[in-house]
Amino acid sequence: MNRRSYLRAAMGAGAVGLAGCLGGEGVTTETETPSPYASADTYLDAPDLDGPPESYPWPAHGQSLPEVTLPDPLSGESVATTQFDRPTFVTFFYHNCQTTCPLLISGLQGVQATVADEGDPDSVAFLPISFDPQRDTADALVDYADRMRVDVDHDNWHFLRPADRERAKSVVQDTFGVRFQRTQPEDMDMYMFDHRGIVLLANGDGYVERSYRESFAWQDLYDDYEALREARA
Amino acid sequence: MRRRAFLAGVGAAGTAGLAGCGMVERMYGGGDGDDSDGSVTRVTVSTIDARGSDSGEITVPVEGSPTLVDAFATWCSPCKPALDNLAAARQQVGSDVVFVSSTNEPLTGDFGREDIAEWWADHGGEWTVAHDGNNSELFRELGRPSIPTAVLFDAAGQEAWRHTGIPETETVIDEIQSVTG
Repeated sequence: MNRRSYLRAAMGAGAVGLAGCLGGEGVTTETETPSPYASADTYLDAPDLDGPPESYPWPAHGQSLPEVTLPDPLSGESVATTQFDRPTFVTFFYHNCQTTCPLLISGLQGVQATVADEGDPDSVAFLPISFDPQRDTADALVDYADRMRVDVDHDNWHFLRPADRERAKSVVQDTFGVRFQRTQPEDMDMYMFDHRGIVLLANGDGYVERSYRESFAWQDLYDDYEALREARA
Repeated sequence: MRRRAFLAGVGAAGTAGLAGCGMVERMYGGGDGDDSDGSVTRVTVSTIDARGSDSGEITVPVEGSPTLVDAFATWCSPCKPALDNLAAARQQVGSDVVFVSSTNEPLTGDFGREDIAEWWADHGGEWTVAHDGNNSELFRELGRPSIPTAVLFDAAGQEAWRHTGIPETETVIDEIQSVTG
């Protein structure tokens, strides 16, 4: 099926009207003229971008999802970011984070809980990548998952943890363009991070459909996932 | 302009959900939203049987009353101290303003309204607590804020103040008094 015609149909029905209204990438709008950033590698139409996808520090619409293989400290297996032939959410977090990361993780959790309720949990994958390998131990991640109500027993969810700080910088900052910087807040007895809050939605063919900044409702992620799943069907 | 009218701006722009990122960015970017026509979008959320809260519905901002909306989540660590400060402020301002706390967490087989009620009681909540439906309509109307965020509306339904993070009790009191006269 022609991808564009699908999207027009979906837009007409209002199915993806709310898609992608997040941070730097604007709401998806149907226009007579194709977006200058239309991509042959995506199923969803390009969102309103502030500039070309390559002008973003992180991968944006139509760009390749960087292929990186990282260990899942809970299962012990190695997981490649591009190994899933289905919509894949990737985000970047550390479990001691109090504000931004819980929003990112809860966004993914909202989608995970919903697809589980729908009986279709294998239609999507979730790959939160830690940039704090020192403290994001397997035990800490199990506790964190419990607090965030993430089902880590389902293999649609893999916490991924670079082996050490150097590898974390290399993967998260250099490869994915998601900047983070260690800080020592005066009112806290532990280090924290200044970091960007980014969620990527890749399409299962290795290309990014959406990159969200931290201001979103979990349904925004779900709506885009659902549109993508239907477009790929 | 400090007193922003996000809802008015969205209302003027048409369908709230489609108002777009420009609106959201404008809200955060200094508030040049159009509040001249005074239109207000009100959202109905489902209230929970919990401490200080009855099962039913409430439409916010409440018509004819200042309303303080607290966007929270049960996974949110700073929401507890934020709630403490809002409660302390509420003790001072009495019934001049309606407090509504709302979460948009997905309700599933493993997490239901009773879990929200339990968190609410455990954390000292003592006013109306609501669930923001399955579409996060209120959360979206508020501009998809970080959690926790407190948003104060005046009696006409215009946004008068908002704070993301843990608000100071005195600030909350001052802001409420500035809209209750």
